[in-house]
Amino acid sequence: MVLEKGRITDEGIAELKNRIGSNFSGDYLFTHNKVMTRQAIAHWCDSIGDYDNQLYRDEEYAKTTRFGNIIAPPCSLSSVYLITGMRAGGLPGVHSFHAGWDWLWLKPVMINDLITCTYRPVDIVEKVSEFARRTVIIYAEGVYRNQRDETVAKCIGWSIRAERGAASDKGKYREVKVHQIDQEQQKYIEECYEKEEVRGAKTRYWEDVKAGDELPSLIKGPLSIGDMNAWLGGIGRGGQSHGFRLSALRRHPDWGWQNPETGARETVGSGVHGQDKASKGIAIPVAYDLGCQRNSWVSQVLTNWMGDDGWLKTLYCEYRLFNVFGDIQWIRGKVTNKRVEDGEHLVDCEVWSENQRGEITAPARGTVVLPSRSAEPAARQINSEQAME
Amino acid sequence: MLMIDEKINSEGLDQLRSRVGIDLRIRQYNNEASNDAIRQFASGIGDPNPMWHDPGHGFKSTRYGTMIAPPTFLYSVVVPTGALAGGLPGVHSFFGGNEWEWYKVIRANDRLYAKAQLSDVVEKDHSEAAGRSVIQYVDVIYRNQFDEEVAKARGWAIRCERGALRERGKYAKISRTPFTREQIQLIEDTYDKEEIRGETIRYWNDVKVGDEITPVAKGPLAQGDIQAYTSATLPVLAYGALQRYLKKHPAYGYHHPKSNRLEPVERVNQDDYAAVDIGVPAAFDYGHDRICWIGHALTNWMGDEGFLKKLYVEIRRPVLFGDAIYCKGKVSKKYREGDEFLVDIEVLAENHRGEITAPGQATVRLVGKEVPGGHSYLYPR
Repeated sequence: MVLEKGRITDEGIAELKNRIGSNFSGDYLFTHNKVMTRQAIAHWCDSIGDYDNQLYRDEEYAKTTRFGNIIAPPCSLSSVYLITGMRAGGLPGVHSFHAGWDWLWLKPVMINDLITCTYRPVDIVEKVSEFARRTVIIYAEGVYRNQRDETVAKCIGWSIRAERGAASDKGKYREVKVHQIDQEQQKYIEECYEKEEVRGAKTRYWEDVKAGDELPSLIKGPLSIGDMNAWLGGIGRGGQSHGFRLSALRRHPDWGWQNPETGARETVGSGVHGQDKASKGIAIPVAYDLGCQRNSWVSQVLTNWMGDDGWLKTLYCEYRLFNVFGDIQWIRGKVTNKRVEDGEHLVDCEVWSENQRGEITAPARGTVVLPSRSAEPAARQINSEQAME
Repeated sequence: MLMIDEKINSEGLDQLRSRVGIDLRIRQYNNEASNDAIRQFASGIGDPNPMWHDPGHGFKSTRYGTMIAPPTFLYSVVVPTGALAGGLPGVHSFFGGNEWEWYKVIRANDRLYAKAQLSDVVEKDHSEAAGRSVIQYVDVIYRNQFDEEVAKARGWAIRCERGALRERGKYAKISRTPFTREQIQLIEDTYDKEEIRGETIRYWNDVKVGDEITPVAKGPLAQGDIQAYTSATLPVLAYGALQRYLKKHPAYGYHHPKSNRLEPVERVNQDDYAAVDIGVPAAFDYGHDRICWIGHALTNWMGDEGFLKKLYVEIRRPVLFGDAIYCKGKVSKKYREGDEFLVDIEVLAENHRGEITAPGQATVRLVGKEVPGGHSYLYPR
């Protein structure tokens, strides 16, 4: 077998539990962006295919919004640090599937803000899963702060650790076939891409929204190595090239696998998310995406819909099924509830990623703050410099 | 056959030639050399020099008082390649090489602007790999926020007909035997023995003709290397941008045999199916990435006070997935020109089978001891 096969042991779990609550920060975390420069924000937007939202790209345009300048899209904090349970380490050779994110955004990240992140594992839960017998879920919390030491966002990310051997034995995904697209579908995909709708400057008022409203959907795919490259351009993959890879694999031999065709030692990440021969090592016949990428697509549906005056407050997303190469994902959403809480006019939405087989691969729920005709906008939606004046 | 195989014809050539001398439409990836962008680029090419990673290092160790970017950072602004001129749809384009001349140091937070023009289109009767071929030359000028010329680069692309490439299969015979224990040991040893000169000034006076620069190892080439490089250097065609581009340029797409999805031809650098379709047995590297690797070996050797003035590299053979590469160099000439203390270096990128995949020459400016204070002179910006 190509990938290392570690076991989930009581000692391994006990060791991991020791790490709960300890803080990881500074140079110890691999940080892709430290400063959210204009080009860093643009690269991140490119990485999820968000090409048309000018609030994230065009300085002149952004000056006319209530933020007074370019802001970074909510999930782009993943380019500072990506919160998964994996960073807690432990259980060598046991596979780690990033399985979800739970975000809370508190303040806008403005262009050229310096962002730091602290990371700490918060909980470890044992579970028996259909996919791979004994599994462990590791929850971690990331807190993002800006140069004024204000907390701008918090994120809980969790990963499922599953034994690769067990996954292979159970073979839950053995039947996954690569989807073949035909000409008609190709044309439809092109049309869907053309139809993307960004609300932008046209304020969406809370009063005008009602439960049951559908959010304009997005299409992503068919998934290819190009989409993976794009996403890595947003969050970075620098630490895995050449000599960096060699030293990482010397420290953590279980992060590596030997490519049977070339003899090269590669990282598991660049394997399962790009090469079928590696993903087969964990009983998934086709290479698959990074869940955080899909989560970011989900956030794009909400930011497209809410417009410049909306504020994405929370987003919870679970990655339930794999998005494999060749799969097409439709990201759809609808309004489920409207409420006023602590003076904020909130809209709850259900968003989900659905593949061409009609399966919901990633269910999510998000809460958006919208402006109300009857109330002043929330303070965080005004440029902090303006607020000081 | 996955990709479209068009013939090189005179109308196509005329059309291409009509673009000579006009500004080409280009898309810059980086517009500024932010600290992050510099570090990301260096990580992408596998260069651990603290100069490109730690802003404090540049502050304390150099006359510049700030982090500076590796000269090859300009690849992340725009890759100077003949392909920028486009033309001849359905005819494959191989990156042929670059001739660089640098004038200024790139400092942290410099803004960078590139301009590109097609300068020449030359027909070649016969190439070993592909029969009839055309070479197109593009010149790129890079300027900073003071409108100073930072560098100039000539890049060329070799356009070959895909059918001929498949038939001739020049590279098809490359054997991809697994590494021997000794070979792996040599790769790892070369990584371990990498020598970053850094703040220890390498004086021109101490250099002799025949001196070898410490080789730098790269690879064995894997998906992670290509992704690290693209993620820090190149705009990626994906999602709607890919669909739109391929609608406009259908000859640039192919249907992936596994899912029938559309992919751009540039996937030859990651997808074995695409590579085989143009007569190369496996996915292979970006030639310009390799020039960055050679740049890495040179900047390691010259130290923080050295300045890479010129670099000429020809990309002769592809580096396949699984190949290990050694970037080497040897001092061939030592001379003074005006008030500059220069050395010429023969450089090459050799694979683990001992084949030279990319030969070239470099000119490096070093510090001379003759001048009081140890520095030959300051290079004001």
